Amino acid sequence: MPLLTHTDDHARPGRTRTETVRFCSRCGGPDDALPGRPELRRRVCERCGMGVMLTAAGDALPGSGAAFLIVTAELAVSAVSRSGDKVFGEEGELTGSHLLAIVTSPLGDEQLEQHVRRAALSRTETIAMPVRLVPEDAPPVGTLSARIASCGSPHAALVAVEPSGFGIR
Amino acid sequence: MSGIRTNAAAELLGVSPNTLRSWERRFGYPKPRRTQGGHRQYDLTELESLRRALLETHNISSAIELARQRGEGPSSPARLLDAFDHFDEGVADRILEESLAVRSVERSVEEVLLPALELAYEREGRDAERELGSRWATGWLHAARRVVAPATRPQGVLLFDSSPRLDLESLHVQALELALRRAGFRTLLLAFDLPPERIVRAIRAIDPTAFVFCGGEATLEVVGRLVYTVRQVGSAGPVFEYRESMPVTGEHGIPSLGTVPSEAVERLKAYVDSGRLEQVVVAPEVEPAARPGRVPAAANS
Ligand SMILES: [Zn+2]
Repeated sequence: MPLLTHTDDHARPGRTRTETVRFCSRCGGPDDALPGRPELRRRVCERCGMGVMLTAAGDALPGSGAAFLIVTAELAVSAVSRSGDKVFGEEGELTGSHLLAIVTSPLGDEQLEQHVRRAALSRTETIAMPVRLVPEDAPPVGTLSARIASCGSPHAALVAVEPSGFGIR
Repeated sequence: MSGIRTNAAAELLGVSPNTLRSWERRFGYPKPRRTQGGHRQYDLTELESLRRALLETHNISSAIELARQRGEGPSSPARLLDAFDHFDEGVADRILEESLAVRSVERSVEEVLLPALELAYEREGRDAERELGSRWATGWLHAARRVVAPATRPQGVLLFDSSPRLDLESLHVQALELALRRAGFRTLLLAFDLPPERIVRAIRAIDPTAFVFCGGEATLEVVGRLVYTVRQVGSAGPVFEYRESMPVTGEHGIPSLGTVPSEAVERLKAYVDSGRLEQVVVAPEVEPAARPGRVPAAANS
């Protein structure tokens, strides 16, 4: 199984802004509830039982099973997807960690912080920016493309990564 | 006692029963107690707390941690049991204090203290923890009894306790005594094997409106002797049993006050307030133990 999921063409940032996706904070799987029947929606993922169902813009995730972090406005990690465990580290270890202890951006951490905080505080357009993993022992995945989007509830930022084509560092 | 079966608990949280059991295996929470038949019974306050925490967090382990930290139940039986397991009476006191902030004394006893003790008594190989829990609970119930206001009802209730010291049933009996006192009854708790002459003095002093057999260890012979003594003194108060403590049940058994203190208090009040007590005066027909297998006191028909 590849470490990272490639982008589905129709889910590129900015493309499907009007649609939303409901996904599991742990397995990343979509909601199976009947469309238009919100009363049948469950908070806990019926597939894995280990994540809660969150909503984000349709272009926020590269696909189900994506590697992502959920980050609060204080830039603390509040969830890691199962695929994210292999990229960033185990959810149990990372929960509560500061975002910048996990990823950094060649465009500058200030910009990364700003985008993530804004996404966590209000509903923003999905943006993409390059990121790299910070820890010495992180897997050699090079520069990744991170989609930063709003999600919730509770309100937070979704930082989903995929290969960027910028190469291995 | 509030106990929620697995399917209902799962429904309340919007998860499958399998998911609920997997959380128990992985996180030890929510932690159900087991019925005698081995069924899981979840604490409603724990489930409520977790349901709220799930809405406030982004993953299951954080939700569970939050629910745990908040400690709601402000005092679940599982937390109290945990305090026994750590031999920490201070924590046990605090859990009950927290419970009293959101529940009455009666509900704290019935929903936290007694279920925790039942959990403690169900387990094998944890004798020291069980004894600590039992001693601590005895102390707690005594302390609660000491601060009960003076009786507000004219009726007296005499409880005969046949349970061994530090036995779970003995704690149930003490909880009943506390509830009766708090309900305003003049209440006296005596060991069932006291010599008759001492019981006579007690009966004369408090002139009981009702007698209650509790503790589960009474033999027919002893019950018969006690009832005989009661009637000899001229007391016509009806005899009840509590928590199926009587060796005989059925038609010739005696009326039950149920199995939990609040239920017992309600039943006793109903008897007293309906005035039907006046009609329940029947002297024993025979000498005690003269008719083995029957309780001569079946006095309340
Ligand atoms: Zn899932």
